[in-house]
Order: sequence, then C-alpha cells, then structure tokens
Amino acid sequence: MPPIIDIPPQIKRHYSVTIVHKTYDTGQKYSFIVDCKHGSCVLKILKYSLGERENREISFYKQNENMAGIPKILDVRQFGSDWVVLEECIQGNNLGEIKQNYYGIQKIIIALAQRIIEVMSPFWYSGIVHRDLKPENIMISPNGSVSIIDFGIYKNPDNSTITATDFQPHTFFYAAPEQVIPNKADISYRTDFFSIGIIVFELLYQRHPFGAVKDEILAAYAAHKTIDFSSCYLNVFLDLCLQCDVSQRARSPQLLLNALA
Amino acid sequence: MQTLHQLGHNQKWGLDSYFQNTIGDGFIFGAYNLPASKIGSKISGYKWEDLIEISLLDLQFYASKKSDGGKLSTYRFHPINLNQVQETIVDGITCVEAGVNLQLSSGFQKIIIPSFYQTTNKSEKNINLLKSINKLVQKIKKSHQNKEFYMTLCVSKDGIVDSSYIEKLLTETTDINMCFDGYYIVIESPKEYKHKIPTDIRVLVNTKKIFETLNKQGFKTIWGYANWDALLFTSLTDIQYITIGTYENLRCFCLERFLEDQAGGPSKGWYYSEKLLNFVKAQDIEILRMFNCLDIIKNEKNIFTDIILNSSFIWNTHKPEVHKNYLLAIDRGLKSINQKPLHERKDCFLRQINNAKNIYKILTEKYRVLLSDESSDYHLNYWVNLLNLSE
Repeated sequence: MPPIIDIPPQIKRHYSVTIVHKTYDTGQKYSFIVDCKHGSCVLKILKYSLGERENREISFYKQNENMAGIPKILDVRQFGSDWVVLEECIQGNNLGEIKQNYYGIQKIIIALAQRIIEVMSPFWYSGIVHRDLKPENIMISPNGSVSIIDFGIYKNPDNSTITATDFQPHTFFYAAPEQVIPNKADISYRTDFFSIGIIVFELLYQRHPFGAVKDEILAAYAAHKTIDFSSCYLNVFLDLCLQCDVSQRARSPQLLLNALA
Repeated sequence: MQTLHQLGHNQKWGLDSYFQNTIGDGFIFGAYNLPASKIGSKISGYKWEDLIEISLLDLQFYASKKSDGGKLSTYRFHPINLNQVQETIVDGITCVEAGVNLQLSSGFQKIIIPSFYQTTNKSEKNINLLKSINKLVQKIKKSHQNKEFYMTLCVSKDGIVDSSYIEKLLTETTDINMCFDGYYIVIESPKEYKHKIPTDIRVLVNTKKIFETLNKQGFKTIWGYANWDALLFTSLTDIQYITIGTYENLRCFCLERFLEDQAGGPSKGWYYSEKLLNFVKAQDIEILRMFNCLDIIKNEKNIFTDIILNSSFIWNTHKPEVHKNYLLAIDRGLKSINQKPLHERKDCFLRQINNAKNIYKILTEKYRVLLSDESSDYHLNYWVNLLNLSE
C-alpha cells in the first residue's frame, strides 16, 4: 500500500467511517479517532504485520474485555498487507496532556491514584503486570473515570514475555529500578506500584524523587537509595511505593488504598 | 513476643524449666529426637494434654539424606525414608502434605510446614517449591481456619551472606499470593574460629532484614535455633516467637550436625552472664573466682546462678543447672527488651552493651583478668556497628 495520510477508502467503507477527529502517526502505526458504525472508536492501521507485541496486546484486551477500565477491542482485520485494529475510544485526555492541571492539588491526586489502583487491582491479583504505567497510558474521561491503555508489554502469570528488544518500558522516568537495571525475574505487580509512586510524586512536586537527570537516578537505583519521605505529603503512600528493593514495597494494593484514605 | 524451648535430646530440661520454673511460653519438638510413636503420649512425665496447646513440631525436612537420621525415619513420610528411585517419583510436596496432615490430626494449633535446606545455586527450584507449597496450604487452610501455618525458611550459610539472594527470597515470601500466617526461620550462620555467634556484618544486616521485612509485611515470625544474639535483633524489630535452647546444637543451626556426631566431646560447660552479654568458659569462672571478681559478672536473682557459681559446684556441661541458668537469663533478657516500645529498644540495648564493655574493661584494668577466645567481648563492637547502621 502507498504511504497512508488518510484512511484508505476500502477501510472507510468497511467501517462506515463518517468523521475523522484526530490523526496520530507513531512511526509504527497510524491511529485515527473516528465516528463509525460502532460509534466513537480508535482505528489503528499497522504499516506491517501484527508483531508479537500487537498480538499480545490484542489477545490481552480480548481475554479481559469484561474488565472495567481498559479499552474494548471491537474488530481486528487484514486489508491487503496492512492490519487494522478497531478499539473503543476512551473519551477524554491522557494524563500526560493535562498533568499540569493536577500539579500540587492533593485532593485530585489522591482520587486519581485511587482510581488507577482500583482499575489495576484485578489484573495484579491475577498475576498481570502492566510494566509501562505512565501518564500517557492513563486516560481520564470528562467525568473523571480512569482507563489504562497500552498493555503491549504486560507480563502475564505464566511468565511468558515478549522478546528482549521489546521488554524495556518506553519511558525511563516512570520505570522501576528492576526494569532499568534489568532483572526481568524481579518484575512483578510491585513494579507497577513503583511507577504509580513516581506518577504521584511528579504530580505533587513536579520532579523525580530520585534525581534530576538520568545518570543520577540510575546511580540512586544501583545504590538501593532509600528516600526519607517523612516531610512529604502522602508520605506513607510514597514510602510504600518508592522502595528500590521490591521486598520493601507494599505487599498488596489494599495497603496502598489504605494509605490514600 | 514469646519464647519457645527448642527441644532436643534432653527434652526434660526444657519441659522442667517451663513447668517448674515458669521459664518460656511453649515448646518446639524436633522430629530428630521425638519418635512418631510418642506423639499423643506422655513426654518426660508430662501429659500430652498439657503440652499440645503450647507446642509445635518441627519435622526437620532440612536434615540431609546423608544424616544418621535420629528418629526421623519413624515418620514414614519423611524424605529420609525415600530411596533414590522413590525420590524421583514422590515429590517433596507429597511429603510436606503428609507432614502438615500429621500435625493437624495430632491437634497442634500452630503448624510448621516442613521444607528443605536451600542453597543459593538452586534458588529457582526453591521458589517453585515455595509456590507449590503455598498452593497446597491454600487448600488446606480452607478447612482449618482456626490454625496458624508457618512456612519453614531454611537459609544456608552461603545464602545469609548474599544480599541479592536474601532480597529475592524476601520478595517471593512476601508476594501477595503467599497465604501463610508466618514463617519459621532457621538460619545457618557462618562463624569465625573461636566465636560462638556470627560477627560478619553481612550476616547481621541480612538477618535483621529478614525479620524486619517479614514483620513489616504482616507476617509473624518464629526464629528457630536462636542464640543469645537474638537480644540484638529484638532491639531492632518485632519477632513474635524466639526459641531458647540448652545445648549449642539447639542454639545454632548447622547442617553438619545432622550429618555427623558432633556431641562436642567432654566439656565443663559455659556460664551465661547477662552482664557480659556472653558465655564464659567454666575454666574462666575459676579464674574470676580467684581474682574475686565473680560478683561483677554474676546474674542477679537467678537460682541456677546461685547453684553453679557456688565454689562447691563441680562443673559439667551435662548438668541441667548450667543450661537452666542460660534459659532463665535469656528468657528474661528478651522479654525485658521486648516490653519496651520499639523506638526505645535500640538505645536501651545500646546501654546494656556499653555496660558489658565497661565490665570487660574493669576486669582487664582493675582486676587484670583477661578473658579470651569465646569468653572475650569479640562480638560487642559488631553489635554496636549494626545498631549504628540501623535508623
């Protein structure tokens, strides 16, 4: 197929696309937010075959389609050499687009953290780890409900994981020490706890708790640095999340919710 | 915190000290010394009904196949009974399940789930075993909700010095899926020559981390084969049950003791001094007596001290009073520290250590008595270092 700048006509016809609201080009795929016969949807066109990551993400959403807080996959289909994935459009913005609206406002930060944990809890209890929690993967609807997207590199209970080139989180800032000083065996639900702790700390204080630059953060992780959060707001919660040693983080999501209550 | 007698060959001493002298709060029977046929019967003259409510049973699966076994083989499900062919067929879980069921049917309220000696080069296997046992216990707990289940963690001497191994172990044992009420912890600590307790800072730090982390994550802990350095760790964290034992093999877990006869030969025994926070060799007691400085190291209000420090007492390690002196002193010492709020214990124990160091100094400078080897204060500065390292 020639380079895509618009939805090819056959795909438009198939899904009865009437309006295209937004277009994203991530370099790997084109994403369109459209109105179509299924309602408001995200239409993704992959410029190549479905890779391991895409297959995993699609099968994850299909297996968990009754779970609240994650997008629903409506259709997966091949057109010529390209694959199309049609998924539910989560209305609203991702947290990355609007995080300045949260800066320093403790009440809404707490509510946000509670919602993230409530959405993720069923997955953690069944052994699923997101591994790439960050503001861009947290959708917030106009009514405040939270959805988590991009489970492309999640880890499942049978420990199967994707290829080494893909397992690193896309964003260093929110990654846990066991992800950036790679030790795949240590990655667990408590890896996600750390990422949530970073998100909350950033919203509270607009910086990373372990350092200003990547080298400083890496050095802190390598040294198993312990931070004293006693002077911070939500100090108990931050302490439960932001431990370099996995064994020192909260044991269960309920403990995190208790610390936020 | 409660103290439990770690019972071995001379079970009667531990039982007598509880029933006659109110030392301790219960017992851990070891399968090595308690044949299966004795469960449910009188033991050393004490009725089973008086024992069962306050007793636990350690089936000691960590004892190696190569050991002479003691009474282990009287438990038909014990791994020591399996030959090589059977070992490949009958997995460890079958033995563990049988061991748990025996304790349940015998009326024990707290169940020690038996497990195996774990070396660091088999950590993946150990973790898989832990998860399998966890699944087993999840099922069993559904019909025994009034019992408490303590998983055995046997940490080898190469494990306790390896902080990344300990971190991995603690990550797995505190996983959200672990259904145990707590852990029964047995640590094989390497010691220097002529030292009775470990002084390697890695051992001290990792031991502290084990108890602190499990406590922080809501698990109860039973420290098996504990020695008097339990005083140090009690000052740093909460430990729900600590064992107290007579002979050294009950205060110092060592796999080799199950492999060969390590009776230790003829010994006059050791005097535990609360003031020195140390054991003093019987021969050194005579030196202290000659220099008229026994009073500054003797335990106060301890009937056993009164007996064994009497000049007419003929020292022998096989006399019960020698060991009951320690049992009484350590029971008191642990509970005295533990009754204080956690944030006060470190300073309290630091004062005790400084007092002990001062007494050693007085012995040397004023009385010109030099206590050497195990009787010396080799351990006290390491304890201070650990306390100073801790927040």
